[in-house]
Amino acid sequence: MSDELRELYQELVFDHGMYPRYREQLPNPQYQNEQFNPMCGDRVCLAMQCSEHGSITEAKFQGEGCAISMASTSLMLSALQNQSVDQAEKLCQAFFDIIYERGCDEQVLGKIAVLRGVCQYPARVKCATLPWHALEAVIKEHKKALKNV
Amino acid sequence: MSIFPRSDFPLINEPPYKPFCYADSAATTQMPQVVIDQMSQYARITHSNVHRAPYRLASIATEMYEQSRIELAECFRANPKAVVYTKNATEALNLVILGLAHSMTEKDAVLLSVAEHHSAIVPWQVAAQKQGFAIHWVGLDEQGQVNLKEVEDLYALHTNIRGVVMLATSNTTGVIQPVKDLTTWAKKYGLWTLVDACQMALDPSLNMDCGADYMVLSAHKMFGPTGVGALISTEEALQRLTEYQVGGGMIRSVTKTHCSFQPAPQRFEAGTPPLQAVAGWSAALKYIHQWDRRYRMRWTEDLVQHGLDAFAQIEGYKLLYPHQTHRTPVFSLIHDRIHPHDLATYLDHLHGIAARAGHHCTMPLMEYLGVGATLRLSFSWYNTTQEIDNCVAALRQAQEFFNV
Repeated sequence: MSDELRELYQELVFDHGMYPRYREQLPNPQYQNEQFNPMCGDRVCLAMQCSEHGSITEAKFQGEGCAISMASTSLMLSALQNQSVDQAEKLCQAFFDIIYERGCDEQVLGKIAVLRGVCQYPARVKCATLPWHALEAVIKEHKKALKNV
Repeated sequence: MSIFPRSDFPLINEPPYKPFCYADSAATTQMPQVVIDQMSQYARITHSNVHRAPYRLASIATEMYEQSRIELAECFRANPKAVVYTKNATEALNLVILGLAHSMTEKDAVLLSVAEHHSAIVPWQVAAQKQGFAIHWVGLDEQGQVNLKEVEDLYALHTNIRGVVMLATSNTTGVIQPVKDLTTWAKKYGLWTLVDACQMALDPSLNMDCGADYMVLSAHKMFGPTGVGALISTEEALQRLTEYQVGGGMIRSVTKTHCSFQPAPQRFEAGTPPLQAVAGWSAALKYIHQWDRRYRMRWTEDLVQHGLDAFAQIEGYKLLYPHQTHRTPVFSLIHDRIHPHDLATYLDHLHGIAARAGHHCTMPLMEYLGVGATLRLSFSWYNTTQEIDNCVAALRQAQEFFNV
């Protein structure tokens, strides 16, 4: 049991969970989406800036929560820096693939694959997916904005 | 002193997995075998719909249902005519709140404590938006009790307050509230009082003698099944309420243009009631009341005292209201570096401790206390002091696991 739980709470999860990266305010962001888990009070507000060529120029968040939600957010934001929106979308799909046990594409996910064990803990899946729902919403909004140009 | 027979509870006696420690009784209590048997027996030999049918089985079911109402009324020193069965305490609260709010206008106001459960807050908020009345909030004192001085001050400022809502015991902090003082005060000014007694139902000292106009209960917080709760009131106070739901079972007559209703309590019981759950609740009440009140008080006090001594001392953790002894065995803890959700996962997976993490449906209280979430360990008579000690040891070990 201890080993299984250690599989979820690895050093990398502790590190990002306790000291989340990119937790800063982004003034007047182009895109912003807040996700809240009413069951436990976890909150993630994702703020992003994208160029007209579809690259992410800034990505930050504000919020608070458990080690799993904060690690998931911090790892996601670390991976998003200087990426394209298309890559972010692929990343998002790959993340939901591990959650729904459709496979784990480590090449796409990189360090984020550390969270693969969370699908064994149904009560914690919502913690891990919180920032990814925000990212999904922001990507959708960005695509809509491009269409309207 | 009699030791509580925890083997009466199958799920506690033969847990679904081992190790196992049930520490979530504030959310729902486990059921003793007699309750399970009573529900099974009802299904086997009594089940039919109550009231009106001419055959004998329906009379037996009706007798069971109405006798259960009388027993519930006796347990809480109420008039059976003022005992309304609902599907849970939330429905009982909605019944009272929407029934009272109906005649309130922008000239009126209600007073709620910040410690209320969402089920006693949200119906008021929705009704206030519609009817335009105000909601005023009273805070807590240093010991987690509703501040009665603040209640008086608020009433001096807002004499349009029509009634006061109070949770008898906080489901988050376990602190017992000064219900009797509040109802006595409210009566002086002709205000109604609504008391949520769910978390205090095992305490023999709380009943309608406290002077409340409306008291809500839930069977599954007192060794009964889910699916049934009650509003316990007085005949006079029930008359103030409008019907919350309408339909079959509560009417006297219906024509194409007109309908008239039964007197209370049937007036508030539209539709087929939760008969099997009522049978189970009746068995739970008998189970509780078979013991002398001194034993019942003592079993709670032992858990409270042991829990306070144990949980207040763990380094790194903060217990909410550690000096308050006037409480139920509910303990809310915060760690300065480990989130309650991570703690709850750890306790479950490594120690089999079933505990809850979050805001416990009391977000205004969380905001008032300035905390996002707590780890709540809540116990009942079937828990042992050894289990509390095991929880403490597990909480200490958690700090090693999380490297803090």
